[in-house]
Amino acid sequence: MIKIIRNFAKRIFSGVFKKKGEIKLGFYGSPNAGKTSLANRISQDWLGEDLGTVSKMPHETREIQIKEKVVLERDGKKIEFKLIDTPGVATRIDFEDFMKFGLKKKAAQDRAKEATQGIIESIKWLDDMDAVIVMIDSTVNPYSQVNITILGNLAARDIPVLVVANKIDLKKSNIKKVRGAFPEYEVVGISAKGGDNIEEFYEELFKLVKKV
Amino acid sequence: MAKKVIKKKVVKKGVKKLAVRNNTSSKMRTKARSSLSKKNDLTIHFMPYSEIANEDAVARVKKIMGIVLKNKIIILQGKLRVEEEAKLIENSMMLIGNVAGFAGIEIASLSGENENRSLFDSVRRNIAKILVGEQDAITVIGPASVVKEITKDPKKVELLLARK
Repeated sequence: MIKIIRNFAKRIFSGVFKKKGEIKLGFYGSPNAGKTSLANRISQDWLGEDLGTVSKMPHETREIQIKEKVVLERDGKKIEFKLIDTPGVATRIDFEDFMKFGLKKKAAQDRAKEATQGIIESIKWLDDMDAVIVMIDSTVNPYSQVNITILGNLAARDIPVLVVANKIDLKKSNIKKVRGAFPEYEVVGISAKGGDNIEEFYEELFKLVKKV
Repeated sequence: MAKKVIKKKVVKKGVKKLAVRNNTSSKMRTKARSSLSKKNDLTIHFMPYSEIANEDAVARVKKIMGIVLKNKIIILQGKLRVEEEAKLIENSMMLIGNVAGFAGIEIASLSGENENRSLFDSVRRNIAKILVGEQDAITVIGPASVVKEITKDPKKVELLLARK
């Protein structure tokens, strides 16, 4: 509770002295939700370079990845972002799951260890965000405790959130279910990989920034 | 004749040894069977909210982790605070790789929230939540080695147990 009050006060003070336009935008969600894919798309669209590597194997991002000075422009308005891509948050990590992707035992154990550290880092970084995009894979059940815990912690810290339902280009995608699970949030459906609906995403992102 | 006696003795000795060995292995088997059955047994720990009501976040997480590490599934009356849930995940991550066989946790909460609640009821519920915590909910927490998956929809929680 004290931590939340302290963070709230920190946010107010940093808000007063913060350089205008500099927004720390975090990407949070479960592993393989498409956080890095979206961060890469934004970075490619506005800087022409990637932020991180993408893989089908979960926990590809195991360290916080940052891309600074990403300037987005819309209707003549420029906003400078610091994109912060975080490792996927999970409640369980079994090294044997990585072995199914062809990793040897030692490599799988190392990856598991790094992934656990990454999750701890992701949770710690929650305090430092100005705004957050919570990525949800719209092809799987959205009622996961990870999604609920992330959104709950962001709400407790009074950090503006945009929920992005990713992978809408896939047959199994169910954006209605995502909207039903989180009715109190603005939900925008996209395909980070294919670029579907990305313009609507940018529009919502600019609306989100107004809440910072 | 003498040879025969010796042979008999040897045979007898052998039988005895075998019997002892049999006895030992049966003891070992019994022990293994009991530990195996212990391992395969599913223990559910029902935790009333009163058990954690007066604890701070650290103590709550510690208590829950203590039970989970005994391979038990907890059914908690009520719900943890969001920051406690985050702490629980952090704590689990720290233990993976340091505690043999521990691969994290599975957790799901089912809230007693009702969309048709009147404004007065909602206000009353929120005040109660601030004062005594969210008791109008149920939380299931289990070790990932025992609980393979928890699937949740707004009205139910299903546990899929890992096959040993």
